[in-house]
Amino acid sequence: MHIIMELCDNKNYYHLYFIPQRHMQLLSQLKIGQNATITAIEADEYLFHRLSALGFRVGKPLSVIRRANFNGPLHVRLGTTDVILRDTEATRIRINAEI
Amino acid sequence: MKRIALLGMPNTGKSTLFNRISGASARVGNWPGITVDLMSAKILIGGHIAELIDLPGIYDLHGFSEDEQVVRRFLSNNAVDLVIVLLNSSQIDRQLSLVLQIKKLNIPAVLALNMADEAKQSGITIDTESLANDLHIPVLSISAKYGDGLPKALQAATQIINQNQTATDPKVISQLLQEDHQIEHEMESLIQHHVQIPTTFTNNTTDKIDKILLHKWFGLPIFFAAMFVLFQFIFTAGKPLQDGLAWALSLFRSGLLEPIFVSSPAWFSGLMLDGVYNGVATVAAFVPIIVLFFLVMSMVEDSGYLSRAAFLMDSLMAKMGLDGRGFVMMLMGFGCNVPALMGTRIMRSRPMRLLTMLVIPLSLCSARLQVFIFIITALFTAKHAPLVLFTLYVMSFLTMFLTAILFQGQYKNAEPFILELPPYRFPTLRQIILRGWHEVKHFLVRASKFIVIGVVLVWALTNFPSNVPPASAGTYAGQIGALFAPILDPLGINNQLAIALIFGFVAKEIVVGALAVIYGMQGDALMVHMATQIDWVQAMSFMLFTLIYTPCLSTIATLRSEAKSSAFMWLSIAWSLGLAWVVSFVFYQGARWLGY
Repeated sequence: MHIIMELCDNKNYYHLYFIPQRHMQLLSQLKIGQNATITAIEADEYLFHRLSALGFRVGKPLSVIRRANFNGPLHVRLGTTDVILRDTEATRIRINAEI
Repeated sequence: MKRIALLGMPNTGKSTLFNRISGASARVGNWPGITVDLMSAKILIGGHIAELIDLPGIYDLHGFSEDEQVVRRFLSNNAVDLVIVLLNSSQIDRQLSLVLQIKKLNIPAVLALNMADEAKQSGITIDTESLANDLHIPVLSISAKYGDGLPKALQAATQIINQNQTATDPKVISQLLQEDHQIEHEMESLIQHHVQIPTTFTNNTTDKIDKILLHKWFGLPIFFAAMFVLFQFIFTAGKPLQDGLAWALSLFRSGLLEPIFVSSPAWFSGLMLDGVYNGVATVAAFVPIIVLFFLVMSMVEDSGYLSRAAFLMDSLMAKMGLDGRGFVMMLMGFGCNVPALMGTRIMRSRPMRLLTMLVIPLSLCSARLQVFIFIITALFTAKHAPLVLFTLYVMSFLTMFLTAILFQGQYKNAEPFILELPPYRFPTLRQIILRGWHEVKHFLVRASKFIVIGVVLVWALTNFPSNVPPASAGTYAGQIGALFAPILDPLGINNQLAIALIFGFVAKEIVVGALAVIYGMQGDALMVHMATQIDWVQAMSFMLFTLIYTPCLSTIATLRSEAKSSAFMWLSIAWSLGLAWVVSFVFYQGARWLGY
């Protein structure tokens, strides 16, 4: 079992999620072409707002389109928005991958 | 008490705007003629206390939904002094009808275009001034979310409140509320004249293009090949235009100007013709190339391709302590260093910003490009010319990478890298033309300021004291050149070139103008003469030095104000001077040693 705390935007309380181990994947571990849903975002305030503004919110579905060569950034699609981000940022986003 | 109604379509951020203006003082109340309650607040505007009422969001003043009836009934039963119409800038082509409907009722209005930041991101440009002239109401761009533009909007509202003495007559409004078919045509015409919406490719098309341009193995090579092709195009297309303009300018001098000055004292005609005209005309001949360059660069930027470049280059950049966005800024520096430096404001981490700002001035900007094209044309064959220019661009990149690698220990950072990849877009013809025109204006303003002064100074230095031949060792210029000789001789840079270099510190465009003044010729004659004065090794060494030594005065000033540190500015100057000397020295001595 794993407890995740997620800071909710604009509100001053935390959500506690009890998540079974098998759903403890990071966005950086997602394979190309796989779909997943965001389960939590662990980030400082600045990064959280940045991610939020680009559409990264808990519950949102996303998919990985490609990854740049030489351990480069990930190309991720959320709805109609395409975003690129490094592994360092991708490890801040926990996802629930579709099997 | 004055009454202001806030009207807008749904989802235009009206409540955010209302909350921002009204603060915490809003209350719910009911109004004559309608059965629903509306939010209102008392606000202080221009010395009056006014009542701001938040009307429901509606699509069509003449529609049949409940909200639309509420708005009609409100306006038919309550006098208002002003209506603020709020639209979403990104959807102005669909939403402008609402403000036209309000206009038809002769209600004083202010048009606030919200979400200006989103429209800008979608590449949409709205000429608010000309739109306001056509509509005869103030048009203001705002971003209620970030508060941008609000003071100006409230100011416009205040002006109208203070102007109009009588509020609307609800009975008249009631009569005027009739269907009007003209609005569709009017809206179309306004959009056509004042709004530019780029062709945006569908997500499907963008995906297909990305499969090629972001290909795992071909992506990066394609990017470099594309850049090479683009700059080849600028050179091949711009060269004949430049030659034509230079020819016309020299004809103008010999045909028109020389006869005019034939009776003036020698020093005056010398100053005007050999000094000012030669210098300025030589620089002005570059306008076609500059325009082409900026047109191509801005099309690449607006298309969304540069974000792809950031994606492809990020991992390489990360090894040097920079990131993908820094690469994009370096590319922008190839147009002009100043906006590229200002663009680093989006980087939140100061070390990352400083490192990027240290690197950007080493980009081969369009001003340096002018110097290089001039010298390359004079001293290299048409076959070698593109290769030499390409080599200079490569050197520019190499010095940037070297600087980053060497200084990354000093400027460690942990800036998150997240960037949006927009769909591919193609700007409208009008946007392209306006962009080109904007750059020409910018260039001409710079030309009239620095270049004229610089050129006159060079003329003065090369022609005084007047008892020695112009541009010889006895003139002030010659003496200054002699002063720097110990440092510059090992680089193959002679006295005359040294003078041009000193003036190039102010603005790189002056270098070419200075050469024209120093040798007393312009255009083709100057090029031919230069070829007799120096050989290609000296020319290359000079160009390498010019590429690296310091950026122009504007760039240095911007560097200092953006970094908020004089120490950083001096570091940048010292580093580039030192690096320039070493690179030129290695090249010149190496080439001579190899027998060239």
